[in-house]
Amino acid sequence: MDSDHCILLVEDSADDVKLLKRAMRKAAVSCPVHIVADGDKAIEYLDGAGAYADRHAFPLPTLVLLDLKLPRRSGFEVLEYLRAHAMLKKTIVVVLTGSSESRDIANAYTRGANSYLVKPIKPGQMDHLVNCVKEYWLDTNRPPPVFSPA
Amino acid sequence: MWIGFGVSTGLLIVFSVVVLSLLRSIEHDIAEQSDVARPRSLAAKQLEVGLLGYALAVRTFYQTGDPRFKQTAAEEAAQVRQHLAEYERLASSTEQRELAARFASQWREYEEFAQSLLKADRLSIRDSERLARLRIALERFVDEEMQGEADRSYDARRERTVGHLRGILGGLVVLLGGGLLLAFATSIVVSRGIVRGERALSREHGQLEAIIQAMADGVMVFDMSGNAIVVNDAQARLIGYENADQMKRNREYFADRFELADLDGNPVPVDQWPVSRVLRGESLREWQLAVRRKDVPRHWVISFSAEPVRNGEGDQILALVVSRDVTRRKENEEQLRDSEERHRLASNIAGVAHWDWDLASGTIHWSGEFRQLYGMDPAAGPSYESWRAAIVPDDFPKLDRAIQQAIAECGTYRVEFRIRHPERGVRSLLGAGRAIPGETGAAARLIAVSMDITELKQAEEEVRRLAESLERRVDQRTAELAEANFEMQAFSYTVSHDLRAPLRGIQGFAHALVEDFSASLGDEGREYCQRISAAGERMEDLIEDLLDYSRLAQQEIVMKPIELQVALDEALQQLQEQIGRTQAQISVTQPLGTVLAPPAVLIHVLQNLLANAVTFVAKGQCPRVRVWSQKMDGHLRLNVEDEGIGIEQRNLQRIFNVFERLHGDEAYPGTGIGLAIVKRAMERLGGTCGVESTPGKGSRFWIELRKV
Repeated sequence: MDSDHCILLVEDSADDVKLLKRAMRKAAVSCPVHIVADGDKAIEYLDGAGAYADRHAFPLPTLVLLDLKLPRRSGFEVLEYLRAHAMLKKTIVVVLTGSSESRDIANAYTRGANSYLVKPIKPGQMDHLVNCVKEYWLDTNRPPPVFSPA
Repeated sequence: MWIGFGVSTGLLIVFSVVVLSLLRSIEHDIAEQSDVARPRSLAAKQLEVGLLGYALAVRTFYQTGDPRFKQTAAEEAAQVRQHLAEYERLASSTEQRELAARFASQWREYEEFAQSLLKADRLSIRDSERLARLRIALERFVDEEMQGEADRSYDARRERTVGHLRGILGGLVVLLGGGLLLAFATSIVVSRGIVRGERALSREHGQLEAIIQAMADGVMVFDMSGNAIVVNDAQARLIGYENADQMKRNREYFADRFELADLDGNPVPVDQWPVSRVLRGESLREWQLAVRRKDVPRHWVISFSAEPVRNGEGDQILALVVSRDVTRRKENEEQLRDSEERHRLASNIAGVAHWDWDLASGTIHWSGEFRQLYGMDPAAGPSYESWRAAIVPDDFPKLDRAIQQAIAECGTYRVEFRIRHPERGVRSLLGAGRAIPGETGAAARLIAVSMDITELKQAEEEVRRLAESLERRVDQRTAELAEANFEMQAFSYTVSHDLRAPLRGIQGFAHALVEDFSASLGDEGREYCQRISAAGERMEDLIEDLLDYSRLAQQEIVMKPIELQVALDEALQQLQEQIGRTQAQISVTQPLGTVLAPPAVLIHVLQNLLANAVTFVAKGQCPRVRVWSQKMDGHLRLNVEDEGIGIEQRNLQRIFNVFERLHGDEAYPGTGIGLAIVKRAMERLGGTCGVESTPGKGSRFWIELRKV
């Protein structure tokens, strides 16, 4: 069940956010989904800083859906930040981006991405993709224990 | 140049050591003399012995280079100074003090000169002669002193015998320069005779004879009537006699059997023979004459030196003639002259200047070409200084180093350097030379050539400058290309990421509209949504193809062998949907063979060619495609033939251009990039592509790649 989960969606495109939320609704994703629109905000959220200080309202995500091309800090920088911090480094990060450049794919894995998905264009494929994410990352995969020692 | 004795260096050292120790013992003997009735004469004698020791040590050092003799020379010089002080101390009258002072000043001159020579590493004839002259002057001085102090009780006959022997030895000393030490040794023996008395004299006379016998040069001593009274074995061997005694004849005997001529072939009459001239009191130095024996057909070139021998009163009593066989040397010189003549001609033809430097005398000869090359004043004679002055100062050290090294190693050198020509300015020369060994094996001459290479250097410089500017331009172009490449990458990244984002929105929302609001849209609304989706799809294809096309330019190409069949299967796999939809029949004639290509690029090319073949067919017709390969020269041609609509001749070349489309999108969908991708890919792979077509019948596209 995905009810123990919390998703952080890092995405600057309002269109994509809307389409993703629609696809999640259709796929019956029931866990909370928090959305931040740039790299700085993503880090702020993960640190529990500023507007995200309340960990009850903004719990640590069990899954981060991360776009690469973001305003301010890029997805790569967010990934690096995550992997460099003891509390955050085990967080599951699925890159979800429009780029299918092999350079970007390689970079993402080098920096510790758990998965790399390309946003589909063909109608209906977005639903399929979100369904896959839910089935695998939320329902099948066993995430690391949240407060395990580093 | 040395006049050697033919005594090997090792023997020379042994000999010098023996004689020097002998000298020491003599000095000791003199000092031990209980009869001190003539103290000044004894002191003078000690001086003479010390002097001989010093001269011998200096000489031996030059001949052998053994540093021990330098040390010995210093010790002997100290001895002489000590005896000199003693001699001065014993002077009782003003006259004697003046004598002592004169001797002291001559000694200083001698010692100073000898010391200055010890610092140099070679001894020229001039230096050698001056050294001998100075020493003889000193000896004569001691003689005077001895005579002044002469003990009247000395036996006159003994005095005369000693005088004769010393005279002969003195002559040998003068004539043989470098071989002084043997004469010294005998002189010492004589000195001992004087000191010790007559009994020892006859024994040591025998020793003198033995020494003369041992000499490598021929020695003849004539009395004043022209009878040879002393002849050594070397002299006999020199002109073909079995032993020396056979030659103890008079001048007339030799006149009957020998003919002498100068080197130009002019006969030298008997009254001009060396012996005749020396009997008349002349001295001769290395007079080279051709000597022919009449009784046996032999001839030699002999270098004669001769010296009259005088008694104490200055009257000539004997004639000393020393002969040396220089036949081989003359022959060598002849050959050298011949080769020099050829060399001169060759030099003249080649414009090569040459010069010849006699290292011992310092004399330089240079050719006319040399003078022209350097722009030397014809009036001024050749000199090292004027040559050096012509060389650009910065270049002199390296040239000098090379020359000095060639001299030291008796080797060759080759250096490029610049000179300042008075009219032509700075010129670049190539200098090369060889040091020629003298008799001792050390370099005696330096023969060198110079050649103007200014034009060559200029051309070289021009080539270098061009290469440099070319390199600069290549670097610049490479940088420009790298920049363009980088921009291209940034561009395609932007396209792939940013152009697609809004497209996703269009596609996504059109899809959502149909899905979520289908009922309220109505048929027309749904058709519009359909069209939005279709337009979006086309744009997606366009972007994808454009990216493929631009990636081809940047992609690193790694060639490896790949079976065409494998690549074809992969391409068909990717086209599965389209092939299924159109019910295309694709037949492959196996085997296709193996080519050298990057697999991904090859698959992409095949995919485009197959898609093309499947697409352009008449309405309602099933595409039929035939694939086969044929061997070309080192290449493999893969043909993809369809039975489609074909291409008109005038459009054949255009179809490989980017965005070139021959048909409307409604009739035949496509981006117009597929064949451009094929063409660009083949260019990158070093292959070729082409098409043959008949409108209405079909087309045959082909690619050619290197076969394995």
